[in-house]
Amino acid sequence: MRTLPSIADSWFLPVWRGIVTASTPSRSHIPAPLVFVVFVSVISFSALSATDVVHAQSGPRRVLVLHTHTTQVPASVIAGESAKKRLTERAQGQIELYTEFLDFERFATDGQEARMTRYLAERYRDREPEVILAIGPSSLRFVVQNRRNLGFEAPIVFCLTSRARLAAIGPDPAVTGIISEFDLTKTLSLAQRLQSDARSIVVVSGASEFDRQWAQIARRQLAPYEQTFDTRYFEGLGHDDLMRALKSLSRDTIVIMLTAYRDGDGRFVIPAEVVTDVARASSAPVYSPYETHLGSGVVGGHTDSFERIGDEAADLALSILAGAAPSTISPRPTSSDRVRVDWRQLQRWGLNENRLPETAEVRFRELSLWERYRWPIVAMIVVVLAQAAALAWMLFERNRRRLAQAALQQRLLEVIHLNRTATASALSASVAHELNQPLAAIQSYAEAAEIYLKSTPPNLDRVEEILGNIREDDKRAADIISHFRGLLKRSDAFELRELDVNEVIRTTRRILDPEALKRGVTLSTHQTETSLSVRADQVHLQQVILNLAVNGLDAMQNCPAGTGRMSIQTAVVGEAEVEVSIADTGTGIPADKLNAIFDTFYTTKRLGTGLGLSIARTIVETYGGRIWAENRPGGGAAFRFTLPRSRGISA
Amino acid sequence: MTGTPASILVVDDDPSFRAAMRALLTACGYRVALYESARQLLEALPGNEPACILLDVQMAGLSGPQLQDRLAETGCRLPIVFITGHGDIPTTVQTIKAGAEDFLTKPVQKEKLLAAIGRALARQVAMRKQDDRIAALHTLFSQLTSREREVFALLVRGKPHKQIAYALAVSERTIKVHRHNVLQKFHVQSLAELAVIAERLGLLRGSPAANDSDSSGNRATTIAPTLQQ
Repeated sequence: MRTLPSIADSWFLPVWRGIVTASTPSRSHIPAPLVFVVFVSVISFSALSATDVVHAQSGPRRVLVLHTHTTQVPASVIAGESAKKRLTERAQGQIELYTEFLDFERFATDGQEARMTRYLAERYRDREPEVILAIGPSSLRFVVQNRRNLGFEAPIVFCLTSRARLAAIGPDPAVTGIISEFDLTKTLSLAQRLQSDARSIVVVSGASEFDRQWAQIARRQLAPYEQTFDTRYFEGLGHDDLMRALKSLSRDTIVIMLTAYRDGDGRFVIPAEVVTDVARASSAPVYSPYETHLGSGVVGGHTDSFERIGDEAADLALSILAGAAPSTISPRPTSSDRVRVDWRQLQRWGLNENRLPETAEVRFRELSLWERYRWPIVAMIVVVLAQAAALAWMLFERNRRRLAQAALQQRLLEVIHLNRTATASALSASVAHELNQPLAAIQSYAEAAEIYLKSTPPNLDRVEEILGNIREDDKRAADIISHFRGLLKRSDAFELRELDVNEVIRTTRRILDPEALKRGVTLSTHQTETSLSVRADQVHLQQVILNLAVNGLDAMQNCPAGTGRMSIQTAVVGEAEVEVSIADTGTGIPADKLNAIFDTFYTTKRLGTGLGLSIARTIVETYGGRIWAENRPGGGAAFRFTLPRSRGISA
Repeated sequence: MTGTPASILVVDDDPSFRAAMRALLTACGYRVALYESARQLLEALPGNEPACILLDVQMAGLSGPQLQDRLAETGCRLPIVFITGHGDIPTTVQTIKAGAEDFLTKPVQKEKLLAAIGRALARQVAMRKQDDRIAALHTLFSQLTSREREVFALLVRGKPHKQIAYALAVSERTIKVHRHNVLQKFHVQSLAELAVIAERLGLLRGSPAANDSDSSGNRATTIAPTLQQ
């Protein structure tokens, strides 16, 4: 019997064996037919069937979980806890679990094993376990070697033990379990895949005996690679030295982190914290063969899942509890070994995920925004696209509408111009008559002047006076023509100019008066004393007044000669509006037609176009005004329109 | 057209045309009066002097043709020459029928204008002379005794002396004396001339012997030139 067996030792180094072979698992208290049935069930059915069989046994079944280490070795704890959880769940509480920790490493004194043997034998004398779950190689060796002294006949299910260690113990029909192989080359192979340009390897490990054992194994396994890689071992360095060394590493280094239970300064440390520090400090990716290191900053490694191993061991124990003979179940390697990597570290180091083996398990994958919010994003994009499309469509429509409006305005201006031309044409007879007056005067003046020139002596004073008169009449003729031409002027836009409505009416009368005279209508204007400023195009405003006035004159066509009266008035309404009213003593408007008369093509005249009033309304509304008609109490109609008063010139 | 120049009354609502007319007609030696409306003319009708109206057709208020009617109603016999910007046929016909001297269109040639004015004034002169002669005959007629007027009235109706004597219950001889006196007072020799005078005085109109008024009218016109001597 070895003294001072270290835990690390016990896992991989050949162990003493002997008693194990002698002992056979005792199932004497289980009836054979029942065992058979249970066995068939286990084989044929699911774990649930096994559970049923466990239930079939009278009373709870006892299972002893024997740990090699205490809680400071995470692998051991995880596997043990996972196995216990599995057992409890599958047996639905019909199991009594006992847990013991050998902890020979810390209590490495002579006779420690013997003391433990006595202690356990004493403890479990009356409650011998039906299955012993040995976690770690030392506990397996311990039970097998001391089975007789312990008084345990129960089958043993092991885990976290290598094939080599199992072989060292020797074949034992009462022993089965899950074999774990530690193969650092697989982790190195992963590192090589990810870092094809790697030149050197650095292996980091702690200063404890346990750590040094591991480092030794690593050296052995990595020896073949030393030719290819510059291989260094940071073994048992002080914390600060280690950090400094890691910081100075070149990026093409493969750092492999082993265990570290104590640092070079002699301090006990928590491996997970050391791993975190190492991974943070290292300027090259850090790998680890332990699943427990995953998540602490290492890229990953070829690891076993201790949880799965615990489950696998628990399942074996259940099978045995259900009656399966351990000898029929040969120890098998865990199915949980594979490459496991931390996705975040792949990102950190820019390592290509595609280089991972297909079976690799990628943990901590942070879903990209797309992966996380795929449908909301799709919906958002659809909405945005729909909005963009709608916007584009609206812009297109807006543009089309603008073009259409421009074209429409052009047409409108043309129609307005045509209407003005028609008005001018209708008024042309009066205008010609008006123009005839100064021309006739000029002719007579000229003839008078001739007479004075021919007289003896020529009366030059009179001639001079007459020439002055001729000039005046010529100017008058020119004025008439110019006013008339204003009516024919083309307006290409609704231009806004500051205008005095009263002044426009005065100008318009120059054209309107002869027509009124011709028709025997008395025309009068009543204007405000102050100027009335509006913003409009003079030609258009004049056209509105002319259209309304001519319309009124037409309405008085059947009045006895000389009785027709027309009055044009201006007023300020509510400070903000200028109102112009054009009233006649004509036939008036049927009450139900007061609105219709402004419709396009509505006419009551035999030769009317039905455009005059409609155009007047269009123009007034274009300049922001209103237009309406009403019948006057004394007969006849009054047309009124307003325009916004311009603030440019205050009254 | 001798002595004081004739007056031309220009009625037109166009100030520059009025002014031009004044310039031209003054240069031609007429006196010119300007009226801007028919009403203004009516308010200030001139006295009995040689004058002619130059009248615009189309004016505010009373139009030219309306003024023409109004003047006829008041018995004013001033000749009228219409002058217009645009003469239409109905207006022309209407005004000429109503006695207008002429109908001119603006602008008017001086020659045409003066010719029309000349004709109008000449007619006015002629009308005035005739008026004077009738007035003279009226004066002569008023100088007859009542018995002579009775004899005159019967004589010009072609009654024989005998009938007249019987009708007036006097002798035929007395009738002859009255006849002689009437002829003397009217400064005529024949009964025929006396009959013309009676026609001029309007004594034959509405008389019992109206059956021969047509023929006497014809005679009157043929005799008229001799009376004008």
